[in-house]
Amino acid sequence: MTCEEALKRLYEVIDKEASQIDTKEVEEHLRHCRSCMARYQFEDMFKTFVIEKAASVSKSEDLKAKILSKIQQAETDHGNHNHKNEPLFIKPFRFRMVYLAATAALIICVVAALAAAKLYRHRAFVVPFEKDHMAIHAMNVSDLDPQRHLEEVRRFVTNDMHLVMGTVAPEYVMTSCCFKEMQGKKFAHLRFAKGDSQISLFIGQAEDVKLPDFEPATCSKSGMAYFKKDCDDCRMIYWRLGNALVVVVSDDKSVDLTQFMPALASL
Amino acid sequence: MSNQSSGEDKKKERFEAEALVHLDALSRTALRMTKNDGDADDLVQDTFMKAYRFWDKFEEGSNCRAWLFKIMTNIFINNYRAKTRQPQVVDLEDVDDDFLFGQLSALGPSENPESHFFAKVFDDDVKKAIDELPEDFRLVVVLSFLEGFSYQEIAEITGLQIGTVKSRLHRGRKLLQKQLWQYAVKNGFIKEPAQ
Repeated sequence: MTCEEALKRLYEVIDKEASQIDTKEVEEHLRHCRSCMARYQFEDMFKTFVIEKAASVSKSEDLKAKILSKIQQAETDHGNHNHKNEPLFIKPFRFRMVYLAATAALIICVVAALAAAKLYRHRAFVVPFEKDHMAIHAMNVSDLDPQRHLEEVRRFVTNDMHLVMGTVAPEYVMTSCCFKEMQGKKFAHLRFAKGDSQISLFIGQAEDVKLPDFEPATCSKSGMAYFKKDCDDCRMIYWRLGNALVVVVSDDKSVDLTQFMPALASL
Repeated sequence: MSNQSSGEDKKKERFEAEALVHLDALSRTALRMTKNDGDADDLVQDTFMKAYRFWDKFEEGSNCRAWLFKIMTNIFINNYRAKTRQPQVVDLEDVDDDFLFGQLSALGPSENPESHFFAKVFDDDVKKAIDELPEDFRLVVVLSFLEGFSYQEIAEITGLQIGTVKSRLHRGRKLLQKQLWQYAVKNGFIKEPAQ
């Protein structure tokens, strides 16, 4: 191994990311090369030094108590069937006149019932997509290889849904690709990333699946109709192609999701 | 109702045992990311609230620490970064790979310049130097150095390609070394050799 090759692997070896073979070869080289050895020792010392100086943590017992009480609060609200952003029952109502109170109670009952129904539909139909986008499925390495299921996904899209996969916004790179079951239907889940922003694309044969409370819209470029919604954590759009339902989810709300609409086309 | 609340108690117990144990680590990284105590506390709280909401989605036995860091990174990018975002123009071409090593070696072989340098620089200087890294590099350096995540885990947490993780870490190291050298010279720990 030359000095150049040894230095090329410098950080990977120090970060214990190099393969065993590479590490062995580098060690062998360092036994004979004093100048590379000095550089390796220095970088190793530097890393240890930064860790020692900056790794101290302050004990955060106060913060822990705060979080636990917030969770408790959230649980209590949840128990009262209240949505986080619609705290209908939290403040006590005080009215002098009984009939006013009765009317108010009636209105509240109706609103609460509507809100509960809306919340139920939201939980049943929207949250699964949102959650799947947020979850780390891919902590095992093989799932991270987008090529692994790509052929299968392509076959699914072409054979079962009679669609063809077009090109995704070019600066986005596919980072994972797998199948998911959502509402009893098989969906392909493709995940793309550009820098720090990540989006999920779900494709499933689900003509009868309804997503509630989405706002209709039209793509300014293609003129295609789609539906959009901003949830607490995510922005979502969906559209239909033949009998397929395509859902795009992003937790970065600044992304224009309609740019993913050309990702699929009818055969 | 009692069934439901005992279920919730169980959920909370599990959350406390598996997720909240990482509070110190998340706080440490949050502080380096937001650069102030108040925002760091808020960021950590938001992270745990979100994690709790999605707790049933977390698969038992998988990497909880990485999952929490992914949630925190996402919240940071979406909610916090916007207000502190500075234009990131980083010209790195002028920093050699072995900048600090070269500078210290040039001080002469008589004393052990590296140990001298490492012994002199203060904890706060190192924290400050990390804080001054441009954000893209800072995040990767903190996740790797302070939290000990592998390149693969950092890629998953940040959503970056593994090659980007490596190159940001490489550049982050260079910038950190240059910054620390400048502190050392400024504070008079090191006399810069006449060029």
